[in-house]
Amino acid sequence: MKTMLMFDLLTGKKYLLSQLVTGMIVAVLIGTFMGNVYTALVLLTVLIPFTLVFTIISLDERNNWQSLRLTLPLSRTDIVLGRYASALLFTICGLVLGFVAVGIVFALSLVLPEVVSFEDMMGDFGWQPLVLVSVGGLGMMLIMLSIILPMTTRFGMTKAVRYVPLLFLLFIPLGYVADLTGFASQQFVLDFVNWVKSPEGSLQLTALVAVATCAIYAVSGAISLKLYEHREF
Amino acid sequence: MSDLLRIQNLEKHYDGFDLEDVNLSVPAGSVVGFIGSNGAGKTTTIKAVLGLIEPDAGTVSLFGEETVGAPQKRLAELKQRIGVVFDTCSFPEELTVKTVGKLMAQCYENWNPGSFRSFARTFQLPEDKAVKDLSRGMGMKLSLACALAHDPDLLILDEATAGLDPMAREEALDTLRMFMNEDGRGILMSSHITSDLEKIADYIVCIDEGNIVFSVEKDAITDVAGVAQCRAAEFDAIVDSGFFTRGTLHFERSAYGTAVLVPDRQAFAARFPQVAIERSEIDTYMSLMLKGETR
Repeated sequence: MKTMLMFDLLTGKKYLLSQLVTGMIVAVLIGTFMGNVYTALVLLTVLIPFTLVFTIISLDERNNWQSLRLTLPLSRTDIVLGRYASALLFTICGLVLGFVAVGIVFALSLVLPEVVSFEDMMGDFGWQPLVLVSVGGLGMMLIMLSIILPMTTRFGMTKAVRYVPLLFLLFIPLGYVADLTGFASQQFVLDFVNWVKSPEGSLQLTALVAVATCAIYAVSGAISLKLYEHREF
Repeated sequence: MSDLLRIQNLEKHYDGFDLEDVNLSVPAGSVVGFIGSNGAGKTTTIKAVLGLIEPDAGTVSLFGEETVGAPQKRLAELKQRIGVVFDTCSFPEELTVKTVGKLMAQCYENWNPGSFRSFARTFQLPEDKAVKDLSRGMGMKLSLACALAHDPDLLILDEATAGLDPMAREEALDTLRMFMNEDGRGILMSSHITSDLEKIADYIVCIDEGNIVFSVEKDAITDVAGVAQCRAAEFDAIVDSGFFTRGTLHFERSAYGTAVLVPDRQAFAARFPQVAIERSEIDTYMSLMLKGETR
């Protein structure tokens, strides 16, 4: 697994640098002009792993790399687990860079008060939203990866990308139904929002999201292992 | 002499293609040339050996150990002793030669960085050049350097010299000859370039439409066998002579006469001194075996 992780990290290193520059510029600009540091945080937490993982998966198919890799002394389990480990690492990397972007936006607000007001931003800033946005971004990305990785593991990137958008389209009717039923104004939803706003609620929800995301990611890994076991090249 | 690789009764079935009853071995100390037309089954056989596909039947043994259905960990251990080169340089194209070396070092317990650097120098591979910027010949040399720098016992080359210029092919063959200088090593080399195999192979195995057509020592083709060029009357005399048993006479008619594949050109010359006979090459041998008529 360590070898496969190294493969992905060494391959992703170059792309990480270019993504870091563009992602950071976009995140800082959006965060600054919207006067909202959380946007910058969540943007990088999602953007960095999303582009890096997709880039690395697409490289698998180029020049028959995925076939040659299987002729190296790596087991299929090593390859799948290594890929999950690298995707997780890229996601954490995105989160860390997101925090750096938050710092940069705050710094800019001190340097350019006419563009973004430090006081306004501090007014909205607090540990609860910061933790919730971080875990939310992380959870969203890992759940997305949990859906995409088994598909790319089984079919490869070229085939999987045909089906991934369809999968996400399934969420649209759910939103439509929620809207029709007035889901957002239901009492239990309002109670939930109030619970989340409380310090204990924030911490409990964070823990719940973290545990659930880890469990989903682990299940996804197990499915991918099974799917890759008999894949032919 | 033990076999580094032994394939027995291998079968793999696809829609429109069947690999059937393939038997092949690479004895220690030998180079086996694996030939056949496009789509004949060479790559499918190699994929089965390397675990890229699962055979429908048959066995594959590497260094005396059965690999089909073997635990993944054991298979990975056996792969420590193999070097593989495909027809393209398969490493991620943004990586540099140096980084590829670092990656391979992570894979192989026996990886020798000094040996890799030495191959890179010999092959004139700039360490900081990215895979995507390498020419086809340089890409192949990088693949070969990676396949050799962990001191493998068995090399598996799938059309590795295809598309290379004669100089680059000669250089690759020299490297393979050096590899074979050490006892106990072997090479399975699939190639369309039979002139390369004439220079290096000990055995020639030919596959066509998923079936092994012949498996012989290379010398039996190039030193013993021959191609007789006959006129119509001479051909009839040969057929009537009983020199060839039924089903062993392979021939091809053309406007200039009939070419007959002769398994032993000396014995043939003694029997038919008036018939012109020449040394056979792997190409002509294969062509007569595959495309010629049989009587």
